[in-house]
Amino acid sequence: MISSRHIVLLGLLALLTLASFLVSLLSGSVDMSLGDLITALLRFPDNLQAQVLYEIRIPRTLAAFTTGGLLAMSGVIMQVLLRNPLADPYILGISGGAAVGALSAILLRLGGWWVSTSAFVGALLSILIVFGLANKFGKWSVTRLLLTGVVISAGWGAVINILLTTSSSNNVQSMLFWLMGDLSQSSVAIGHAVLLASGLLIGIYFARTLNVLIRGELVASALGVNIETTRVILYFSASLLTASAVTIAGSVGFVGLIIPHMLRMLGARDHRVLIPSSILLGGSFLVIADSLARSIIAPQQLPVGVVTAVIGVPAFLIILRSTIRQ
Amino acid sequence: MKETILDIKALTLQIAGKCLCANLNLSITQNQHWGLLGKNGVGKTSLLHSLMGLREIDSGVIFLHGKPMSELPRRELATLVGILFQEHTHTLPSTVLETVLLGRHPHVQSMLRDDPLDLQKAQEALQDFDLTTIADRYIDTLSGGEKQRLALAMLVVQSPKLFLLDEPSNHLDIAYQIKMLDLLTQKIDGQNASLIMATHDINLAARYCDQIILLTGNGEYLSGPRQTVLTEENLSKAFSYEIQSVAIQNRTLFFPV
Repeated sequence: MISSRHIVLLGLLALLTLASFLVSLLSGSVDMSLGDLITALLRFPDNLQAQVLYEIRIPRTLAAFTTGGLLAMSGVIMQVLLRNPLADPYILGISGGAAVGALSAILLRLGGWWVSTSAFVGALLSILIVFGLANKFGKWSVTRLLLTGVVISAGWGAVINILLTTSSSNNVQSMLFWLMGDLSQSSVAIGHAVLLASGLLIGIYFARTLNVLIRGELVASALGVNIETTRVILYFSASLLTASAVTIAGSVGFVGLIIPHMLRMLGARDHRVLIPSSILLGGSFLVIADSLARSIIAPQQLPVGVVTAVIGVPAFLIILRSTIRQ
Repeated sequence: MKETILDIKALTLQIAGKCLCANLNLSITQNQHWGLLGKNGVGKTSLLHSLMGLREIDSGVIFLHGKPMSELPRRELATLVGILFQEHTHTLPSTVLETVLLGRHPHVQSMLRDDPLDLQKAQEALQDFDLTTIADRYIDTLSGGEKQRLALAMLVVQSPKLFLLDEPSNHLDIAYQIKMLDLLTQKIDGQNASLIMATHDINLAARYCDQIILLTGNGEYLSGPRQTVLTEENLSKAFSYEIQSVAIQNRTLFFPV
């Protein structure tokens, strides 16, 4: 059920998104005032600020927003698909597969393109292995899918540890940044934006189905949902969203787990509202986290995944506490 | 002439090699109330799930309004048959009103917009099932009885032609059992729909059902009008325990010896 409260929420989230973009574009080692920003955006002057803006800050801000949006939306779908509030985009081993791909590329000292491409291939491989195994022996069930995913994830974890312990310390530094989630090397391609937009459309199309599906597969089926097709579509959509996010920024933790819950606590339980809200809040959350990641100990940078946890944990606890009081 | 809603031809159901139904034939017409009785594990729930298309059948055909059920799209099926489950899943938060509204899912037309008529139907059902005061509560804070009334309200809002009820009296106190079933059967009759009710309470089945299916084990069954099926002999055999009856105030009550 959509009420005027939901429209207000969506409006506020849109404002938050705008504000987060402003903060992100204005923060960094090159000083820039609001006036400089507006001049650079409107008149394309040939100066340092415009150069920094167009070549560094705008791409990075877009990368942060896209990653956050993809992860939060994927988290929403995974939690419904697995009917588990603890589910996050990485629970089925996608980030593990991606990490093995990315770390192998780093080990071989291949460039940025190779790192993200092999991360995507690793993620796809993991998606197919988990889907194949969960379907292969007898009937699909949520528990099977979850267990298969968790076990495959643990397997990838072992490979990651082998890669980490056998690499030179130089490589280990880049590997750790990738594993914690880092936007300093990121750029967002048109493909990611297309995927985010199609994810949104699929999410909206299935919003009512997701509303029913949280009551369980039997209830959903009895209310007219074709479970077999729905779960395949949802599994692959959520997985591809995650795969795309990890190729941009590595495995940024926390966004995909807490953003959906924060929004549900704020009243966005209907997926017609929750899906678009998750993109806005997930995206702007990561944009703000990344602005902090590159300014707290400037000129050095923190991996953004560290910051998401540091501001995510207290923010989540505050919302949890205030909803319990109601 | 009453319309036939459900027609079961030569239905066979098995679970893990055990035969639940063998060659079951049954025809249900409008306004009929069927009681489904039998001892634990005899296959009552499996039969109801098959009639909702939630479970593969081993052989036979189930016709709904003359069409084979296997050829009906799920959504159309959900406008014809609705089921009250024995157990309910509540993992992610939602409120009572939101949940009742889900009952309209098979009828929803617009992908995004809410139909005010659906909301009105949901609110009427909340009123009928004494849920209005807790409309905004989260489901995980409800008592067992409140959850059961919520599930009944959801089913009424779905308004199918055939209501399948799996233990409708679960979690309800003795007064609510009668109040809720009176109300439900009145709604069902008002829509010229029919019901099949699986229950352990023989007296509840006797009170609300004019027709009985008694599953007697090994795939065998008895079916027909209440008076001919509900006898001391049939029941004692079906439950492997001596059951006697007593006539009181124009009712026949059954009790274990």
